[in-house]
Amino acid sequence: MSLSSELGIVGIIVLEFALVLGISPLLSGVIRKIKSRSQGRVGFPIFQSYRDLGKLFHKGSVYAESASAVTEWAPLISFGALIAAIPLVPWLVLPSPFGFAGDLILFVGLLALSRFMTALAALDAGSTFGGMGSTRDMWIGALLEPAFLLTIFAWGAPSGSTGASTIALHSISLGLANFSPPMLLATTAFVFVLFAETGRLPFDNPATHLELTMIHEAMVLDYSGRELLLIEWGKAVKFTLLTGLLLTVLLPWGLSLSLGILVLLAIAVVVAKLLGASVIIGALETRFAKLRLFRVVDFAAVATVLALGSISLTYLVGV
Amino acid sequence: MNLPPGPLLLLGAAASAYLIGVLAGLLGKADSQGTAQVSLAFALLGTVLGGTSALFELLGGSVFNWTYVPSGFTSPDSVMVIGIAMDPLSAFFVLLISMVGFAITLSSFGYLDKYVHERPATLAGFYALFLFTLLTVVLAGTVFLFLIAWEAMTIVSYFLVVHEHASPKVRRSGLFYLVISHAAGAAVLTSLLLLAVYSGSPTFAGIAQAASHLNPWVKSLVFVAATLGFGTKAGLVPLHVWLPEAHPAAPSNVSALMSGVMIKVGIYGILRVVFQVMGGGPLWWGVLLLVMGATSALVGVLNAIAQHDIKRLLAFHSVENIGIIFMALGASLIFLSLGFPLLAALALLAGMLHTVNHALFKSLLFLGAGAVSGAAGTRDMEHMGGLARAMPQTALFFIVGAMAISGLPPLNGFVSEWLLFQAFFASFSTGSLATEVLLTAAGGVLALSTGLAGYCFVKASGAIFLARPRSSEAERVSSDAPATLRSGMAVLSILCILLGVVPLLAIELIGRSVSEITNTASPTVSLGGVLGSLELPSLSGNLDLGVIALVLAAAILVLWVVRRTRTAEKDRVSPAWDCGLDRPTSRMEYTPSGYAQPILRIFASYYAPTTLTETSPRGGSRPGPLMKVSRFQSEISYPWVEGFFDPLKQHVMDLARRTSRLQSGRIHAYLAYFVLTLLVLLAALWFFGGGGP
Repeated sequence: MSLSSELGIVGIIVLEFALVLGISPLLSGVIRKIKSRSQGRVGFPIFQSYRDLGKLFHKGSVYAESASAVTEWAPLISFGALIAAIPLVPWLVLPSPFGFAGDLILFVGLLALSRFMTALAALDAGSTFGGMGSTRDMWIGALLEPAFLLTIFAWGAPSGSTGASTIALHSISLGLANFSPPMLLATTAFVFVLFAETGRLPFDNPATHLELTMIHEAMVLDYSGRELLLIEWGKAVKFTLLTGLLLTVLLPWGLSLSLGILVLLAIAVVVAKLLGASVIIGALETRFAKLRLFRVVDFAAVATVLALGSISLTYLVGV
Repeated sequence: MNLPPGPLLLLGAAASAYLIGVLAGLLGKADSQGTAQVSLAFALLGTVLGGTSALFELLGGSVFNWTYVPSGFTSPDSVMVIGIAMDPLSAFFVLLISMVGFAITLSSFGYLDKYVHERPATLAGFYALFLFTLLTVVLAGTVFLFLIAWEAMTIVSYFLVVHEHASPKVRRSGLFYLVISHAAGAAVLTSLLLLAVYSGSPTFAGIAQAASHLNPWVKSLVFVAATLGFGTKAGLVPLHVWLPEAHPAAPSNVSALMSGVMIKVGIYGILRVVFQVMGGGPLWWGVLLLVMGATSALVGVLNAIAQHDIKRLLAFHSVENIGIIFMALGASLIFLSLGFPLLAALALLAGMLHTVNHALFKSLLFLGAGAVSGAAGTRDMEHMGGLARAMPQTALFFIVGAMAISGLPPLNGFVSEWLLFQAFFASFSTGSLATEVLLTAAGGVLALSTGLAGYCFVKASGAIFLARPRSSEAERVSSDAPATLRSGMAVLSILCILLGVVPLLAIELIGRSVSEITNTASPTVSLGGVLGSLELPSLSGNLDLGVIALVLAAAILVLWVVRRTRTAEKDRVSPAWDCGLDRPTSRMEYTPSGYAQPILRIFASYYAPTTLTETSPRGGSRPGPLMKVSRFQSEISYPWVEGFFDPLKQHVMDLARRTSRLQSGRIHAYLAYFVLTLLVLLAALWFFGGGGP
């Protein structure tokens, strides 16, 4: 491999990190804007999230007396796990230059690591609401784990690989046939997972002001300053990661197949796709009311069955 | 006989070291800590020597497979032959026992010194004997020695379980363990004697050669008996009931050894008899193991979530992980019977790697549990909390173990589960719809049990180490565990991280037995990544945890450096905010029961909890005129125990009562029975023609 192509690969990876980390607050701003508008409010400016994060960066942290070193380290590890998950999804180039590092099962594992850390940190201050949010986040995550994993099996079955790049290339080769019944079933299951993992309605209401109904917000009540910055930013990055994965599998078109100038075009396409997806997800979210907490179990079961159905259909039709 | 003298000498030295340790511990003064330490020191030497001999074999390069029968012990036409044997499978387990045994023994110095006050030397002596019997089981080259060692292992572990026999609860748990283990021993005896008699060879090597000619019915009988016997030792549902009783009763270093190593010897039994000797079998064998494994995984983790006792919680997690290992073994048998040796090798590799990984993180967690329960004076997590401040290193090691058992990257538990997911996923290439759907569903079960394990370990780590202490004992804890105890945990933590980041270290060592059993080429592993990445021929995904670990470490480092830059405002410490509550107290914290409540509610049909609510008996000890005293109690049920073992116990007791009429106490009656039995046996021998089958 020549030096220039190696430099190109490093450049692509740096670009991908910057893209995902940079665009994430914007996407959450867009969703909030869409929700406000559909509820007849003006809402925050879409760039407000950046200002919020900037404000947190300049603030000092207030640590609870009862807190241990976990409060300090868990947000770092949690956010680090999300960063490590970024290159596992092909954002700009197919096949992803970093694809050798792992497949989508690793992706699931890194997201689980991130969740484990935030949930553990939520217990550290010893506040009631922290425990409440922590247990809810963990059990919802645990019950959706089979759906998440089986979705990946379902996506991977036609191409025989659990690697994101292989799956996306297979999708491209199928053309319009990519929108097959198994793919749509699996994608529906994944949308459930996405909504639950990112704490959106109907699972969790990110805009609630009632502690008793909170999940994610309850976990971070005792956080402040730069730790809070990492947790909030991390939540936005997680949304981008999952949405990006969905787009890569469902609509992989527009990604560059080489390291050339087309990468610049790919950036524009990816940004457009992510913004579009955020608008749709924001609009979808306004159609739901918050579910009663224990009804989430039904959602998890439906998602699992959908994914399992998708796989069975693939096998039945023949790979 | 052409024997490699090096390993044999080393093994002999290891055995001598153990036996000196045993003698020192059992003959010395029972109450002397000094004697206990001498005994442990020899046990430690034994683990080093034994581990070296296994490494010597595994890294030697050449294929090794020897059986050593001392002269004078041979008798050609008998089953009663004693001999030891070493092949890649034995060497792998010798290494496992020695490596984990080393770390646990190291920890035992501190544990015995600080937390065991009665007869430490006796405990150390039996501990060394336990290690010796474990080693003998996996090195037994003949059926006869295997059975002796197996029984010795059970009895010695019984003595260890009932070490604190002043407590009636401990004695009851011990008896329960002894009875179930003997029932299992009978099954093991049946399976091995059937093999020896029908193949006409007393050595495993001889049986393996003759195995292909065995009657399939005999083979299936052997398989069922082996699954019952070894499955009980391993803790497979529904044979797991002894495990959550015996592990908490034993001292923690012994629980670590039992859960980390002894139950793995059950896995060794299955691998030896079903895989290596019989070479797999019909499809239903694999399906049976897979289904039992999946059941164990779910039952184990669900019961673990409901526990308050940290050691019972860990014991149920052993059931879960044994389930995961059995799922891998089942998948491997399925692939073997369908004629996909490469996929079988992949699943077997996953199972054996998980065996190592579970040994590492479970003994780590048990040592951590021993440290905190010793310090806080209770095993009940409800009464712990906030221990991270007094015991920061123990907290760190425990959380590493918790992450590993929850299957989180970049730790070792993730690697074996990843391989198993790959094996399940690869079922798409078998072309059999039933297999594909079955194994995919198994993937779903694995994902669920992994997710729930994460839930359970956030609960456990949080309840033990974080927030404020919930009892005065926990509040009084002022110092971390003894240095030796911590160093044992440190060794295990480092191994958990190392085998996560560089899994090839373990895979190379396991690969030889896998390839021998499945008749495939040794797993070729590409070394392209920074620390080597996994690319086996049958894999449909790829993994380079070394690179991911580097990215993770770099990201955390950068974030940490940025975090440390100055802010306009100073950081400060204040009471927890808790939405403006005035100084939250430890009574407002989420307790482990509160944390587990949602899952208990969701799976209420499984737990079938009985609850009891009482409010304010009139008068009584009311705290104030406007307050009422209420009490809430909730107890989960254990369907396997209540639905199966309790009735079984009842029947056995009834039968015993009925047969007790025979015991008149008169000598001549007993002599009559004796003669009668002899006559029946002689008649049977005459009737069946005298010779063996």
